[in-house]
Amino acid sequence: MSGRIPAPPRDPSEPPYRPPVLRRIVVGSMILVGLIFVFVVLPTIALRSLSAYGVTSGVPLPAITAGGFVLAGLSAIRYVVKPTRAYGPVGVVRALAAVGYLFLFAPFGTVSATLMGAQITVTYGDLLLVALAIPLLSLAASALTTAEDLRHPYERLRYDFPPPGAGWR
Amino acid sequence: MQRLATVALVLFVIFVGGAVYSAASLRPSSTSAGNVSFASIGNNTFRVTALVNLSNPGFYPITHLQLEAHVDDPRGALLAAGSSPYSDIAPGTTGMILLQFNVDISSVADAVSLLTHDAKLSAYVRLHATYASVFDIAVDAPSNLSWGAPLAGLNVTPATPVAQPNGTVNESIRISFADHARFPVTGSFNVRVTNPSGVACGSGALPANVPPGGAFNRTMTVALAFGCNVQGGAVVGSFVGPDVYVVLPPEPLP
Repeated sequence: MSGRIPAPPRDPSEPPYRPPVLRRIVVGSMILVGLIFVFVVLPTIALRSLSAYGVTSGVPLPAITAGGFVLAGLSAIRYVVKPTRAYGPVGVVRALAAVGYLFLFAPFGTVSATLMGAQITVTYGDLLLVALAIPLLSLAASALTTAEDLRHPYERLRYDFPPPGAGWR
Repeated sequence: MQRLATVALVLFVIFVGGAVYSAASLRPSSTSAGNVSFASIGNNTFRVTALVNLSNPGFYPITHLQLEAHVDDPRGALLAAGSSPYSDIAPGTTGMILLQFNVDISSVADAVSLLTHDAKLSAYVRLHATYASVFDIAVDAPSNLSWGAPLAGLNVTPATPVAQPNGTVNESIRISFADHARFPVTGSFNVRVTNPSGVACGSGALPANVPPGGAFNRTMTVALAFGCNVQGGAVVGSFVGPDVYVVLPPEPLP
């Protein structure tokens, strides 16, 4: 029989398990590389490829690149500090950065192309505003985490980082 | 709540992917200005009609769909403009957008020449709509329209007045044109022969009934009033029909 079962009750006086800093930095670096690919490399390749076909974007590529680096960096830092009380505040900053990213780019969210003599323009600013729901939920979650970490400093860690071997058979 | 944000992200990605996939399957059967046509509705007024059929086989509706168009004369001045009412196209259906507006050529300065001269008119059609509630789409299609004049090359040629044995004077007037429009030209040329003071010495009417693409070349004879000296005078008049009204340019008598 296999599968995940609830972690056994632990002694509240026992210090919570925290993954080693080096491991968190390594994993955080991998997250950073992955998110740079998603937020920076992919948009750059996509926009350059599309521009070769006459498709132009209203959002400047340098702004997308800068915003992508900021979001990827904050996401990686957030992972590294996850076992600490900085996790919530960094999450708030990351969510605010994502809100700003979407909010600032929404007015410029257009794609234009010429097809058979006709100029086609697609405006997706409203889509970016709808997407604001995601970082806003994340913002609320991070704010709650910040508050909970202040009230119960180590309670979250027992669920976020169950000790190796616990909870799995 | 963090998991809720993750779920929202997944739903968002699915929504965007579905919208892009659906949008790629949109099939406008005609969005170019080449589908703009003219038809006469009388009194130098023409109806401009533009028709767009749009197939929406995707998952999301097209809403606030509207077609706008304007037509410029050869000098670039606005001849007429109009827009269709807003319409929606549900997923999996095909919608038809019909745009009609009238051009009263008599009301536009210098546009009367379009009744007697073929021209290339600039047409500009714009289709805009909202797709999947969040994508605003605009398609701008400029084009040139071939305008066929209903009285193309209208020519009024008076001959030298000829004295008749009974003492009267007859004036022969040859009128020719070609109907380059897509509707028949019916009506009557009403002409007057005037002396140098502008006093009419005689008048006549010549009916015309020319099918689209046909030509008209006929001569009418006007008997001048006894004793009326038309030397130095002119032929003036108009063409009056249910579709077209044209004031003929004064032609001096030879």
